[in-house]
Amino acid sequence: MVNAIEKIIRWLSYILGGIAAIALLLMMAQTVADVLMKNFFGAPIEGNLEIMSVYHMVIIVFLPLSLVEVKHEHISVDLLVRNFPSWLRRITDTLGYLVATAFFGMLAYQTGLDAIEAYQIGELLMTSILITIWPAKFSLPIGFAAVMLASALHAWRAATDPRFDPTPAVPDLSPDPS
Amino acid sequence: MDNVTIGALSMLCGLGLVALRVQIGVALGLVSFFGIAAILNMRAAWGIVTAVPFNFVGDWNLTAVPMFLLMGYVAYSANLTGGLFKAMRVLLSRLPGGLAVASVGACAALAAASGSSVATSSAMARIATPEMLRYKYDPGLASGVIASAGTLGSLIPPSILMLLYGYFAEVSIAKLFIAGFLPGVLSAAMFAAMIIVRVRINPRLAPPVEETLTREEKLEALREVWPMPVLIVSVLVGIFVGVFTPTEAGAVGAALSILLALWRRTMTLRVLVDATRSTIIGTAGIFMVVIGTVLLSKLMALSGVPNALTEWLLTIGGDQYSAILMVIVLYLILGMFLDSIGILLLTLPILLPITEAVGIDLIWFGVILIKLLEIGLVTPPVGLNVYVMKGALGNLVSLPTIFRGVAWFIVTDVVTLTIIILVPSLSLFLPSLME
Repeated sequence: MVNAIEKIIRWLSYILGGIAAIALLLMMAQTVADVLMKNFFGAPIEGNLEIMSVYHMVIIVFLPLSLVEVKHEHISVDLLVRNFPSWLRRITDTLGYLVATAFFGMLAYQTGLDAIEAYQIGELLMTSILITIWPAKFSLPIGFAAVMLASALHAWRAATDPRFDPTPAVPDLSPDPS
Repeated sequence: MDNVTIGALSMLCGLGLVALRVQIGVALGLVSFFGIAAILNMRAAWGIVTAVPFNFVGDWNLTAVPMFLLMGYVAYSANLTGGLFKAMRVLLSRLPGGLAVASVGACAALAAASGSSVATSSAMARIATPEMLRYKYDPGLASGVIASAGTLGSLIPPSILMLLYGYFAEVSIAKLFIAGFLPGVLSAAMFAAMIIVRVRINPRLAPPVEETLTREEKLEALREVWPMPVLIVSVLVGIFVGVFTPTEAGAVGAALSILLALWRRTMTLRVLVDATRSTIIGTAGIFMVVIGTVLLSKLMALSGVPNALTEWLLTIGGDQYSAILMVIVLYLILGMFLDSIGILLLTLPILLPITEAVGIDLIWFGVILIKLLEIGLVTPPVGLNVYVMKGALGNLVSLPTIFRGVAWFIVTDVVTLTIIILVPSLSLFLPSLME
């Protein structure tokens, strides 16, 4: 049962991460296009910066949050906890994940209300061109709800599985030690 | 309870949660929510907590963070950085402690491109340390040099820490980047000088490397590494002469590293997937901390804690040097249990009003802060880079040995920091040319 839920959360995280990755590459391409236009034709692309800030950036930051949790890559400090006896560490870890679950739940709920309101009034951003921004606002409740689920799952794991270890893998970025 | 007490208590609670391994963004965000609710009311707290994430993140200037991360990860994943150590070795191996000096150079270049101290040390630990151990280098030197030199990337531009500092302090990021260049190079040169002097005095630390390479082999090694200098120099020169802004420079650098990898035929789908995945995970992780600290800074502004601290500081002596001394002490303490992004963002809401009150140049101050954060990466008991080294080296070198090796570099860094503080023009000369 829990394993099935874990699988679903993993898949959800990978899908949301995939969308963010596409936004990331688009952001790079659009910025470079903007630089080229500005230097060769003296005119940047209209509305480009605003679209990248409101859409791409928001998607890149919020959608991968659950992937960060699944990979245990959230920035935290384990100096003190590392020296705890394992029973105590299980208690603090479980409570810590519950705190995170509650915080992300709060954010998901309130940003969800904001997003629905933005949709109902058809919120626009006034710049050189008009930009509809309500779809971007839905990135927040989606990202926060997903990371809430991942945190809840980790709370369960920390409480029930003595071998659960939330330390990230050591970054291994050298593909070819030549 | 008055507002200052509420602010101070919230901050202490936040640090307590952080110590219990609650992720930094959540810990700070949550205490800020309750702190704001206690000072104003629940309605205001809900309003601030939900308005901040969207309004703050949707800012064009911050797009540089994911873009510079992408540039670094592509350069790694596509192995543009692979031959750096080999090339530095060809150039420098005849110096006393040549392999260690070459490691400093390679680390500096690698860290500059990636902006990540941890990634640099982790990668170089696997490449350079085993080589040095093979030539019977002292294990403390062979590991300490990589842990310490890996931190050089925070000062040498482009640097994520500088970007975040510039954004919050409202200082030109182009000027900050350029300001970090000379102090960064000085740090590397001081490391190299220290190694050479130590090996001169005690040659057993690093026996000379007997290597005879043919001219062709040497040229070949140098030909391998051209993409990295091209990448770093294009980004810096572009910013310096104003072809693109520092914000745009990240995207240009990322695109350039993809093009260089295509040219070198090391660009595969796997590389692209790995690099983008690392980038989005890194970005989301950093921004959770950023959001938590922005919420905290709202609470700090409401509670008046920074003002109270500034007033107190001004009563005990309000000149620049006592303010800087206080920052050094504060960072040494915080550096014992927080990581660098956390320390920087957590302290800025308090430090910036103080620097304004005593009239410190914000660019120079930024360079000092970043140098302090670099030192904090290797000081015990946390010394993140030291643990990364340990993780990468496994049982090859013991933890106390690495800390012992790092101690020499910390002393050198303290000298460098003193020079940066006593000679402000070291940081401010290059940016002054940009007017």
